[in-house]
This record gives sequence, structure tokens and C-alpha cells, in this order.
Amino acid sequence: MSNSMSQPPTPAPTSEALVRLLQIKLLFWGPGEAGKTTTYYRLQEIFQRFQVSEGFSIATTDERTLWNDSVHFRFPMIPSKLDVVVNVATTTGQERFLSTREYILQNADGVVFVGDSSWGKIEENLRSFEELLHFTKRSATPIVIQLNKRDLPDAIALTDFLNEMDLPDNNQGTAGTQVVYETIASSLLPKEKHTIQRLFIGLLETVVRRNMVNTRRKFQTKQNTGGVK
Amino acid sequence: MATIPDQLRSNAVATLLDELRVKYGKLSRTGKLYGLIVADQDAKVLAANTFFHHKLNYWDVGAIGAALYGVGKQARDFFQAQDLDRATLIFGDFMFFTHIIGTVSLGENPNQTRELILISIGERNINLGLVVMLMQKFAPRILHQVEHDEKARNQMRMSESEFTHHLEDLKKQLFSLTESSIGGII
Ligand SMILES: Nc1nc2c(ncn2[C@@H]2O[C@H](COP(=O)(O)OP(=O)(O)OP(=O)(O)O)[C@@H](O)[C@H]2O)c(=O)[nH]1
Ligand SMILES: [Mg+2]
Repeated sequence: MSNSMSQPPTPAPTSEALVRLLQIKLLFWGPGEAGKTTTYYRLQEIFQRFQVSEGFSIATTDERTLWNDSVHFRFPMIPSKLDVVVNVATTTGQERFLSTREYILQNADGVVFVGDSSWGKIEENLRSFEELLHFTKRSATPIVIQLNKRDLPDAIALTDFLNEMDLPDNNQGTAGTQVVYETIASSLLPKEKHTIQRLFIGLLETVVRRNMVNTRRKFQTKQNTGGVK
Repeated sequence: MATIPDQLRSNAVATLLDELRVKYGKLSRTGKLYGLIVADQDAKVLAANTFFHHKLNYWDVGAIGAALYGVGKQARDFFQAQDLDRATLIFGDFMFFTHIIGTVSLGENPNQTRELILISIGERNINLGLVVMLMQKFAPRILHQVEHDEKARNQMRMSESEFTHHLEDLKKQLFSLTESSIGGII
């Protein structure tokens, strides 16, 4: 593993008493064998020093995810005196375990949809993406898309993928954020790991911001109802 | 309506499950046994008893049973414990067990092995001691039967995509069964 890659700054020791905790769950979703578990392992390498649980994988002998993979990281965010504990989990993409996916998705604060670049998988990508949109419609959970296996010889062009999946042509969301990230999760090259890191931090920031706003809103409402006015 | 393909409930292992269930029925005074399934650790269901409860999806039961086995195995490593015998889920009104039966070898390669699990679901007031005793008693027979069942062994050797096709075939059989029985009634 390379150490030359840019890593988030190492945290300075902070006093526990001053630190607030935010707990977040980020989930990897997508069709079978798209690379969710591979990305999960890459994240453990990238954020190794922030990892706080050993993590587990419930998988078949073929390494297909049977239930899920799950691990915890703790990221100290010094300026805001906030520690973010992130549970990263993956679901199974195999159709025969379909009924378990909905449970794993529960309480997810953000989702990475992992799509497969192979042209032959476009239908499976669509089906899985629609299933995800259906489950997250009510909670309006933030989603980023990881278009994986860019190294495949028959990899779909990004424009075709955006088109087929009915995503914005300019690959930008309403807030101007990147929608699709092109990755090669199986690669150990720093450049490839860096894309995964960017994708992950991008989603994490969105989710943290969203949670902070929600917390503030709740706080203000309490103040209002508490008769501060 | 047939909800379990004949292939899974009329094979020799299924016959053993039926025998287990009858024995339980005779010896126990309380607590019904809703269903029994033999699967491998990859949730490939190999057999189900004939009167498997019609409201339970045998496939989901197999997946949960195998996941429970996976969690149990992980916990065993975590606690650096010895063999894993059994994992249990207890709900308001029923109980679910995954009992480890043993290992089957699928080829010459020593790491080509699969663990077999016996899943049972019953009422909450099921006679626990009796079920465990029967599961232990039947385990070697089930293991022996699977070891000599080429169909079951082939199924366990299948890759995920081969298995998906195999399941589609099984589903087709079920639908054609239902259709022909409707045709018969009319
Ligand atoms: N060529 C190529 N192969 C990849 C890439 N990422 C993952 N793979 C391979 O794809 C296969 C499936 O990867 P997994 O990470 O297990 O896929 P998954 O999405 O977790 O699959 P399920 O758990 O079955 O849903 C493995 O053989 C990986 O090595 C990639 O970027 N390029
Ligand atoms: Mg996986």
C-alpha cells in the first residue's frame, strides 16, 4: 500500500469532554458483483488510522455478500469540535438475498450507488438504482454514484451512462456537486484510491452538513416552543 | 398451492426431515414445529420438509439461517471460542435455530468444503431440549445422505450465476405446476 497519497490531516488530541459526537451510517448499494465489497476494503486501507472497529463481512464461500459488510470509523473534525462516527456498510447485490437489502438500508444517512461499467450490466444497474430510489424516496437520503470497473474493455462511456440512468448531462447535482465518480476499486494505484476517497468525503460532508442543519433546526424549535421569544 | 419445488421436498434428505418432524410431534406435548430446512453455509437450500409452513418463504428462511451462521462464526472468532454448535433467534411468538450439522467435501481439493446447516422454526413454546436432541441425532444421517447425493453436491458446487439459472428453472417448475393444477380444476 502506498503512503504517498494525500490523507485527511491527522487529528490533534482533543479533550473528550469538549467533543460532540455525530453518528452516521453510509451504505453501499448496487447490483451483484459491481464492486461494493472491494470499495469497502479500499476504504479500510485509505482511512486505516480512523478505523475503530474490526469490521465484519457475512459472505458466501465465493465472497458474494450474503448479509452485509460493516465497519466503523471515527473522524475528528477539529474546528467544529465534532467527532463523526461513521458506520460504513454494504448490502448484497444478489437477487436471491433481495429481501435482506431493505433492512440494511434502514437508517442510512447517505448512500453510494455502485454501478457496473460493463455494457451488459446496464439493465441490472437500472433495476437496482430504481429499487434504491424507491426505498429512499421518503427520507430524501443523499446519494452519490460510483461508476466502477472503468478498466473493463467494454466499459460504457460516461455520457451514455448518464443518459441511460436519466442523470444530469453535466454530471452535477442541484447543489453543484459531482454526481458520478468513475472508479477502479480493484486498483491499488494512489490515483484510483484518491477518487474513492474524494467520493466518500464528498458524501460524508453532505450528510454531516445536513445533520448539523437538522440539529440546529430542532434546537431552534425547542427554543421557540420553550418560550424564549 | 405448491410453494416449494418438488425437487427440494421429495428428496432423501427431505424424507429425513419429515421423519424428524413426526418424531418431534409424537414426543412433544407443546409447541409446534413449523418447518425444517437443510442448506449449506452459502444459503443454498438443499431440502425442506413436506409440510413446511405455507406462510414462510423457504428461500428467505435459508438466507437468514445462513446469515445467522455467518454472524455466529464471526463471533466465534471474536471470542476465540471453539466450534459453533447453534445460533438462535427468539421472537415474541416463535423461535428460529441454525444448527451446524457438519462439513461436506465437494472435491479432491481440501478447501472445497461446505458446512451444512439445519434450520428449524417453531412456536415460541417449542420443546427446546427435544428439538436439540433430535437435531443432534439426525445430523449424522443428514450429513451422510448429502455426501451421497450427487444432485445436492452439484448444487453446492454451482457458481452464483449458475445457481441463479438453476433457481429460475425451479421457479418455472413451480409456475407450471400451479398453472396445470388450475387447468385441472377448470
Ligand atoms: N475489473 C474490475 N474488477 C473489479 C473492480 N472492482 C471489483 N472488481 C471485481 O469484481 C468482483 C466482485 O466484487 P465485489 O466487491 O465482491 O462485488 P460486490 O458488489 O460486493 O458483490 P455482491 O456482494 O455479490 O453484491 C470481484 O472479483 C472484484 O475483484 C474494478 O474496478 N475492475
Ligand atoms: Mg459484496
